[in-house]
Amino acid sequence: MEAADPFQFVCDQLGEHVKLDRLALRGAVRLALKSAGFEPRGVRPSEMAVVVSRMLPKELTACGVVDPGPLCTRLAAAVSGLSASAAPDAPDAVFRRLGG
Amino acid sequence: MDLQMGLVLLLSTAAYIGVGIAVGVRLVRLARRTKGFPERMLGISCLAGPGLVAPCLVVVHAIAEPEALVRAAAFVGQIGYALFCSVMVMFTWQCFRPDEGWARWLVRVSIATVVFSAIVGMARALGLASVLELRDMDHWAYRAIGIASVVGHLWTGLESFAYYGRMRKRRVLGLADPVVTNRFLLWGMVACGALVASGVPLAVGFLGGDSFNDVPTRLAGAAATIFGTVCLQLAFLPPQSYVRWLQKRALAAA
Repeated sequence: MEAADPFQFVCDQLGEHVKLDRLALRGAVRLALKSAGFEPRGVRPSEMAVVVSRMLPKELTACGVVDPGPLCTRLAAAVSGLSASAAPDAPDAVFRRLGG
Repeated sequence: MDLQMGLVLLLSTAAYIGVGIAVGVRLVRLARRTKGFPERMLGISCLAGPGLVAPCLVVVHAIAEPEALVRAAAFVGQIGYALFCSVMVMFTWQCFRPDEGWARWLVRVSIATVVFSAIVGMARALGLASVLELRDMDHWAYRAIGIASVVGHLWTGLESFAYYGRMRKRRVLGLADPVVTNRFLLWGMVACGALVASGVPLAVGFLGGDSFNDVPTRLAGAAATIFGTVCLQLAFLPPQSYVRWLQKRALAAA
């Protein structure tokens, strides 16, 4: 399984299923990530899956997408199947290690 | 300075040295195992700050003889102070902003400032200043390191608190460990303690006061040192009861 950028993956998949312009879609995903305490860069697939299932529906609804729940559930399952890339140490990983 | 005040200062300094060395040794040993750069930097900063700077400061300010010992302590203290400030900003840079150009420049400027000032301080320790003059904390070279130190602690605190805010949001979704989340808060508080302990005497000095003998300044420094020491202990050498309390609180909130 190849490593992919979870943010890009979700934006691409949403673009295929939702009739919103690219900028609005990416903005919705960014807002969902921000409200969950993440940035597009460095988010892991497992974390993205939770953000997509729990936070993204609200953002998509705000953009006028009707009933985004089922789509987000499918998308969350797909993104959680991505393999995590070998990203450099995120602060949370560093601070976890510092605990011993 | 009365006896009670002296005791408060002695206890705060002793606690700072003891906890700092214990945390430093643990982090350096961890770094040997993980080969991680951040833990190495943080471990070295704990050994250099509490382990070198604090005891050397005590020697320089407490005794005037033998002169060779005081000069050696002042010399080693300058090396320790420069090392402490340098590795602290390197830790913050590598941990929070490894790819940011402005952070790289901030680190470079900070290190250049402390190294140059420490060289001046070492030259004074080797003979350019008298033993009593070595106690002068209002010398420009000492102030320059102090400013670099304040900037470094401010940066560290801001980054830690900002990341703590993000970790709290993640925790709501079950995506962050409560102990790790709390560690960011504690590290920010350690930076706040260090900011007050180094910033208040610096500010008093700039305002024309005697930063070393002014009682409120010393008390503020001692209180900030004790506060920072407790937070450092809880962050990197927490008692099991504290960890269990954090986990229980997170479970109750879930």
